[in-house]
Amino acid sequence: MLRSIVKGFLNSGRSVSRTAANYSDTVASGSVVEQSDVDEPVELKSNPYDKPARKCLLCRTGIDLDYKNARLLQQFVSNFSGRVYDQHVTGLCDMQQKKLLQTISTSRKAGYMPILVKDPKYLKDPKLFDPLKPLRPHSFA
Amino acid sequence: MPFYELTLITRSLSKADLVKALVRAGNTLLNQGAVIEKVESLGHRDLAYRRIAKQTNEKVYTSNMFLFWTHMSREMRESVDSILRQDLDTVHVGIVTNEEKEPIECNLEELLKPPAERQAVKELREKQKMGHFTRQIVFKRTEKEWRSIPKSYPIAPPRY
Repeated sequence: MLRSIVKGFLNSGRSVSRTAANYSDTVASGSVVEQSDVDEPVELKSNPYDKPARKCLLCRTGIDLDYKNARLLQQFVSNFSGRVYDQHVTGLCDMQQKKLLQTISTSRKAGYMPILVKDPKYLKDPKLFDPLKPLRPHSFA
Repeated sequence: MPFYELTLITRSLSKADLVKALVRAGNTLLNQGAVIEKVESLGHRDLAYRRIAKQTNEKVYTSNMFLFWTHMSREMRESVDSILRQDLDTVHVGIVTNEEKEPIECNLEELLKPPAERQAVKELREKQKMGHFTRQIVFKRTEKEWRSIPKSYPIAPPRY
């Protein structure tokens, strides 16, 4: 009974269908799945409330790693062992971490960066990440 | 001819000697057929670690660093490298190409997911090659876990 009344109302009242059409116009046409009936609920292809994807430090800031910039490179090196931190500590994406390792090796070969230790001049540089709070417990985890 | 950046570290020299050493280095480059685009002084710096000068065996902790922007062929690069390395006034020579920049796609969001949802782990599960015995062990372990789930209650649950 109620359904029939509602249907009748929807068929007779044009204002409702108009508003629906207006709504579908306002939403970007690419993100809406096309539907035969105007009165069907609107389905979106992607979630409009999705948060933007998080990016790693170097991708976010757009900093390019250079082998001559030994100071930046040594911020990824441990104060204690002089070794490069793993990906789960540095929080870089796969490609940036790979690039970091390559750049550090070229920098060391070209004589800009010490091999076994971190340069004591840079020990008090600001920390880019906390090695005691890694992303994952282990790089293979 | 690919582009190379040549880093030259000299031993500690007087200004006149430094000029001579630099001119010599530049001339060796030009004689080998290289093109020098630019010469930069990186200043008198602390070296990354101690180096030892040839012949005099003096220890070099701080010295002048120079950067040559050059274009030379790959064969030239090797000959230039060996000649400059044998020079008595140079302590270190580093020749570096600039790599082609690949567009970097950040996959940090993927890395932050739990391992069960990560695409790399899924692929590893499906496509990885596993030895016969590892496969058997995995099978046995899963079978054991499956068996340990009770199929029925040992004592029937009370009816109400």
